[in-house]
Amino acid sequence: MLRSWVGYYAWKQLWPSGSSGRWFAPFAIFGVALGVAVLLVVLAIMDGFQGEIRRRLLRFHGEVAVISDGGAFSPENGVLDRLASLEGVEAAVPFYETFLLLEKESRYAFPLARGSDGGESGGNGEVIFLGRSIAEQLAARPGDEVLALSPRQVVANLSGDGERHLPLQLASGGPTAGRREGPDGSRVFLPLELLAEMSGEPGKIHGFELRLRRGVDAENFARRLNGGILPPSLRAVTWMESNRELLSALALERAAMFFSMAFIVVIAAFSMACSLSSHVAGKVREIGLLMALGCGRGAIAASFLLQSALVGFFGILVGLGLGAFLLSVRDGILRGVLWFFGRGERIFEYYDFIHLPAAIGGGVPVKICAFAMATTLLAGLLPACRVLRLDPSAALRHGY
Amino acid sequence: MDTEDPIRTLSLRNVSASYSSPSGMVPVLCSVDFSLSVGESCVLLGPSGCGKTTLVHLLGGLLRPSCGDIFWGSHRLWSAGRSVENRRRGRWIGFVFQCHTLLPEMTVWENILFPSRVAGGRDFSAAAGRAEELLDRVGLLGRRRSFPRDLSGGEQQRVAIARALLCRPQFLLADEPTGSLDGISSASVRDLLFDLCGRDGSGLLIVTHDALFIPRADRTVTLEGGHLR
Repeated sequence: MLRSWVGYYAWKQLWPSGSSGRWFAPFAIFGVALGVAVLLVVLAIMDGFQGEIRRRLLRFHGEVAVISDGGAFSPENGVLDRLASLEGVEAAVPFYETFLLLEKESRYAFPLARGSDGGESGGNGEVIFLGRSIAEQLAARPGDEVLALSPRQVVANLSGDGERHLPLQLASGGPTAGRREGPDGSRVFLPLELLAEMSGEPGKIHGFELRLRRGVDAENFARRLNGGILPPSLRAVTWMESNRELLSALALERAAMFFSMAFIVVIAAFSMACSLSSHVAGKVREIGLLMALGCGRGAIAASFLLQSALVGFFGILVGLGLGAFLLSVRDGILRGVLWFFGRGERIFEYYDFIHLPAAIGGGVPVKICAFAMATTLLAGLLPACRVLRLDPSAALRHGY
Repeated sequence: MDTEDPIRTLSLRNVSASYSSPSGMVPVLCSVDFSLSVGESCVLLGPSGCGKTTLVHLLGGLLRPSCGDIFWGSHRLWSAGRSVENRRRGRWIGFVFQCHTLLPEMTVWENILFPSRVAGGRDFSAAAGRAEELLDRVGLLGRRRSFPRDLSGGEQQRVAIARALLCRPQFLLADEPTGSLDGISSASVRDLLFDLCGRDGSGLLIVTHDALFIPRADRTVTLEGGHLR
C-alpha cells in the first residue's frame, strides 16, 4: 500500500531545496517535454500535409467512383440519374481516362487525360485544360494551340494499316489551379465525348465519379453500393482505394517520422534512468535509513518510480504546451529557417502552400502522452529494481 | 499481530550471524542470547569489528540471522511478511546511527516529522506538537528550517535523536551515537539519550566505545569473539 510519505519523499527528491541535485528534475522534465513537443509538431505537420493532399485529391475527384472491371463500357440509360438521386450523393458525373501524346512547338508530353462532362475538370468544345506541370512542360499559355493523339491513334499511325490519324488541334484552356507537383498537376482535362472518340470508343465511359454530401462516410457508402444497388458488372471504390499507394506512402512517411522523433523521448528517458540510477547509487545509506525508519523496500522503490511518473507527467504537460506554441508560430519559424539557409519563400511556391499545414487528430496527443509516460516509467524501473535488491544492513554500514 | 500492540521486549535466542567474504563465511555472532526490556538501558561494549552493529541490526530486524530466533515481544521475526514488521519497526523502534543520520533534502523540521508520515499518523498537529517539544528539548527550536548540511555533527545527532523519539518508540537502538563527536557534543547527546528515554520509559541499547555511558546505564554487556559477556 502506498503511504503518504511515498509521494512526499518522491517530491522532495525531485525538488530538493537543500542539496545540489535541484537541477535534475528541471532537466529531466525539459528532456521529456522536448521529445513530446517535437513529436507533436512533426505529427501535426505530417497530418496537415496529408489533409492538404487529401483535400486536393478530392477537389478533382469524387469520394466514390463506380467503375467496371472490364474497362470502358456503355452506360445503361438512366444509370447516371439513378446514381445522382441516391441518398448522400451531391453530384454524379461520368468520366473517361486515357493517356494522350501532346505536342506544342516541338515540346512533348504524355500525360494522363481525364474526360468529364461537368464539374471543375470539364471543358467546353475542343479545349484542353492542362495541369500546371504539363503546361510548363509544353510552355503553353491560354489560347495556345496544342496537338493531341491518343495511344490508339499513335499505334494505328505506326502500323500504317488503315486510316492515318491527324493530331487533333486543341485550344489550351490554360493551367488548372492545381499544384505543380501532385495528383492534378500532371494531368490534362478535356470533354468526355472528345476523349472517348479519340480513343475509338465513342459513347463509352470508364465510370462515374460521385461527390458525396458532407458527413457521408465514403467507405460505408461504397459498401452500400456494392451490397446490391449496383449491377454485378460495376463496383464502387472509394477515393482512398483509388489512391491507396499515395496514401500508404504518406502513412509510411508519418510512421517513419514518429519512429525517428520518438528517439528524442527515449534518449530523454534514458538520461533520466541514468540520473535516477546514479541518484540511487548515491543514496544507498539514505535508503538504508528509510528502511530503519520502517519504510518497506517496495514502497521506497515505488517512490523512485513515482519520481519518474512525475517527471513524465510534468514533461508531457510542458511538452504539449511547447508543442502547441511551436505550431502556432510554425510559419514564422520555417520562414526564419529558410531565410537562414537562403531558400526564401520559394519552397512555399514550389509546394503551392501559402502556409505550413498542421492538423492535430484527436488520437495523436493521447498516443504521444501514452508513449512518453510509458517510456519514463520504464526509465524509473531500473533504479526501483535496484532499491528492491538492497540489503538495509549493508546499505547502512557500507553504502552498497 | 496488530501494529499498535506495543512491544515489551526485544530478544535474540541462540542467534548466530556470519558474513560472506572471498575466503568464505566469516562468523560474527555465535549462539548469542540477549534481551532488552522496555524501560531498561543497556550499554554494549566491544572492540571494533566484533559484531556490535550486527547485533543492533539483528535486534531491529534489519538483518536476517544465520540461525536462531529474534523476537519482538511474542512475534518471531522473519517468519511472516515484512510489511507488518516494517510498520512495527517504524512505530515502536527508533534508531540513531553514527553518521548519515538525516535526510539531506529535508529541513530539520521535515526530518523530525518524517517518521509520523511513515507510521501513517493522521493527527498531524499532535505530531507537530511533539516535534516542537523534542526540538526544544534538544535545543534546536531555532534551527527548524535549517538543512542538515547547515548543522554541525553534534546538532545533526541531536536532530536524529529527536526524530527517533517522535513516535514515542518502545525501544531506541543507538549505534555509536557519539562516535564522530567531540567531548562537549558527546556529553550533550549522552544526556539527551538517557533523559528522553528515561522520561518516555523507552528501552535503550547503546553501542559505544565511550566509557562515560556506562555509569548511567542499567547494565553493560561486552561482545567479544562472537559471544556476549
